[in-house]
Amino acid sequence: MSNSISLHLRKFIAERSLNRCEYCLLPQALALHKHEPDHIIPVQHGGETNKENLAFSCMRCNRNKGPNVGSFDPETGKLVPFYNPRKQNWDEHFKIKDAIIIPLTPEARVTVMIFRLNNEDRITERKCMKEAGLL
Amino acid sequence: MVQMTIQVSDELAQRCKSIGPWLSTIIELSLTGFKTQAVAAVTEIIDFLCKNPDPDEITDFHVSESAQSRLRRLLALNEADCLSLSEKAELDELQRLEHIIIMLKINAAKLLHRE
Repeated sequence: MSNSISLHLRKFIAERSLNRCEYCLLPQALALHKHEPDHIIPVQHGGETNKENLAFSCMRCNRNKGPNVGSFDPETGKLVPFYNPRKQNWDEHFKIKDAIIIPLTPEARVTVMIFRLNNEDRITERKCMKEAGLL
Repeated sequence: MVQMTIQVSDELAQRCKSIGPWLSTIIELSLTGFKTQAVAAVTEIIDFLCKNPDPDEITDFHVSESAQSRLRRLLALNEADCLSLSEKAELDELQRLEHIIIMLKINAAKLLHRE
């Protein structure tokens, strides 16, 4: 479980992400709770606690992802894995337009859907971040 | 933003004045009606805001290590799909709290930008 992650590994994960959530890009500095390392493949699905299977994640992305590894693409109905920050580039899978995160690939579509990247609270925050020059 | 005028006692007016620009967040936190163990984090935040922190202290603020550990435990249970109903409700409330404080931090960052 995530509480067995060493301080050294936590620090590495945070620095590698530039202190942002690797899914929704929320800077840790703007969050109330500090971001936590998240198992990309959860432990119960055989995921290991190492650099290659951990992503720095805000509490909401972490919570919404839960024990899942993927979902059914709303466009094709096919089962696809979530966007993997260790193997894929954010900019190739998502773009932000008018404070909304737009998915560009099947992996991104299931991630936006299950992680609820565009719920009302998050869009409001992004609009205000943009006005404040923080996005 | 809407400007409101309310009548309060002299004593309360003094206390409100000392809280400065963060009073509306304290009112919002009080009216949201937290019912789970998330109340512990809410109390930490209200205690912090009552000291009228500077905007840079707001942007640097995070919950205490004990509240962070509590979240870590809840997220680990969530990853293992082992949350009780009350723990799910607690995470719902913590997410609500997260949004309120993110908005506060963005406003504090705006104030810093203007200085």
